Amino acid sequence: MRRAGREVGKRTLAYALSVLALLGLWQLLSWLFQLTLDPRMARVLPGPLEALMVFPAHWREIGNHLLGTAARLLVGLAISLLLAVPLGLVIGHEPALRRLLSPFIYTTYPIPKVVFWPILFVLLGVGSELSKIGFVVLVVFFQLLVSARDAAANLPRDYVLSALAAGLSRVQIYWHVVLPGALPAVFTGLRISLGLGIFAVYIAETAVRLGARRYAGLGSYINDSFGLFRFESVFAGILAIGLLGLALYGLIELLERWLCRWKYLR
Amino acid sequence: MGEPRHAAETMIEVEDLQLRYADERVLDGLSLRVPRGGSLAIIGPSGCGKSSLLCILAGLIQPTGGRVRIGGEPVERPRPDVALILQETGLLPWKTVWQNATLGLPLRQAGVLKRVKRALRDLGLEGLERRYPAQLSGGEKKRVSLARALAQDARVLLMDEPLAALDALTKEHTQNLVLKLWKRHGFTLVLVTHDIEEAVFLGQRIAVLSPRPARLVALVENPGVGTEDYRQSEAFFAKVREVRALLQLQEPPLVPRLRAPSK
Repeated sequence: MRRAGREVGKRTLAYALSVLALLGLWQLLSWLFQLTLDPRMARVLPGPLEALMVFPAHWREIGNHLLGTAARLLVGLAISLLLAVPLGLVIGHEPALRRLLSPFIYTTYPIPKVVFWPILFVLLGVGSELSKIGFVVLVVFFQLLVSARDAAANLPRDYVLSALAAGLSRVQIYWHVVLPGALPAVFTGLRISLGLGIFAVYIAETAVRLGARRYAGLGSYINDSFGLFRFESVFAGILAIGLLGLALYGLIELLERWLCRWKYLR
Repeated sequence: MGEPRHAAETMIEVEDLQLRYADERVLDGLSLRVPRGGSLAIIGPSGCGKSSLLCILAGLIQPTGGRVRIGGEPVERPRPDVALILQETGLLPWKTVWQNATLGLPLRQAGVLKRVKRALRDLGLEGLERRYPAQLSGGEKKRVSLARALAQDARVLLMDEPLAALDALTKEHTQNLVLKLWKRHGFTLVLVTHDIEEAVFLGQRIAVLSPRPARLVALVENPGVGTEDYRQSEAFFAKVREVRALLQLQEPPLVPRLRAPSK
């Protein structure tokens, strides 16, 4: 218990030091800009303090946008997980299905998903919440599908043979062997997907801005601030996205440590 | 339970077994019989098809020809009275000792829970139920696999090089344990191994197979099996030499014979 406490303390300290180092680097770059560039140009990179000062004055506005972005991202990730993981596990575990569907995955995976915007608009409504979430799903889905498929396909054969010999049915094999065995790789895929998902939600929020402005999202907030030359607000928005990412990475790590605790034993 | 029964009643019957993967023949007309309560060690060159034979006996692979019967019934799928222990990865790393030992068992059925607890106690695993395989020593992992087989109340125990990864002393202790359990529970034991000493220590009969496609080269009778002291006896060493000679006929020497340097 004491060792676990020490571990958490070390991790928190490491995170705090990283954040401090990042803020220090940012401040240094901002000073360099101000020393070397025309003052009007140097405004594009305000220091971290100036960006942080935006929060007390606009916390409600930024908070609402943060909520909007977080909700779209989380719903998009959840739908992708529910669709991609079971499908990936089945494709990975059944060789015939793998041979049949892998060419389809290899063809569609590298296509930039932005090209599907018009289809999403027609199917889910121009600028609708559904189209934004749909775009996140489209971007994240393939990453999770490939992670789950590869993990299921590379599972040691002896695990499955052992379970089959113990009398487990095909469905039970998925629940007791394929899913838990693939879970660590799915979490790695989820971490990569989180970065992709944030990128997708940002694009979706800036591309078409219709509907309620209050929860339009950090993408929309940053874009609007750019238009008004409010660079402190731009960086406040970027900071908020960074914090959202940090919180979600932390959540994923906690979930992994709970669901894959066998991997972290000493 | 007393001594194992070595009556003539056949438990495992393999007749003219054939297995092909695409164009490759793996097993070629293999025939074997193991009496109820008897033990058979299968030994042969690497990759000859020993593990495939065990998978067929476990009902995990269907042969392309021939006949396999256990207890008089054809083997078509895994059966609750046949337990299989695999080499290294037989235990699921994400399941605890208890979850591994009870995998696939009908725990609500009367007596099953009691049987699992007794098996864990008999194998010295009491108190380790909540540990994961990564927290166990090599010997403890093997004992969990054995506990699962005992909890299953298996009539046939199939082992695929189960002790290969153990250090010499743990291997010897575990071999003694397998011998003790075989004598006490009276199950029929089939063991696939690379280890000649292990085959001679545990197999009342030793089937020597040829390189792929596997054929039966010799069936060595080994009546001395049954006590821990056997491994110290002259009969044991003689049998080891006999099996080694048969195996050497099957495999080309790994180190080519060197010519004496010319003067």
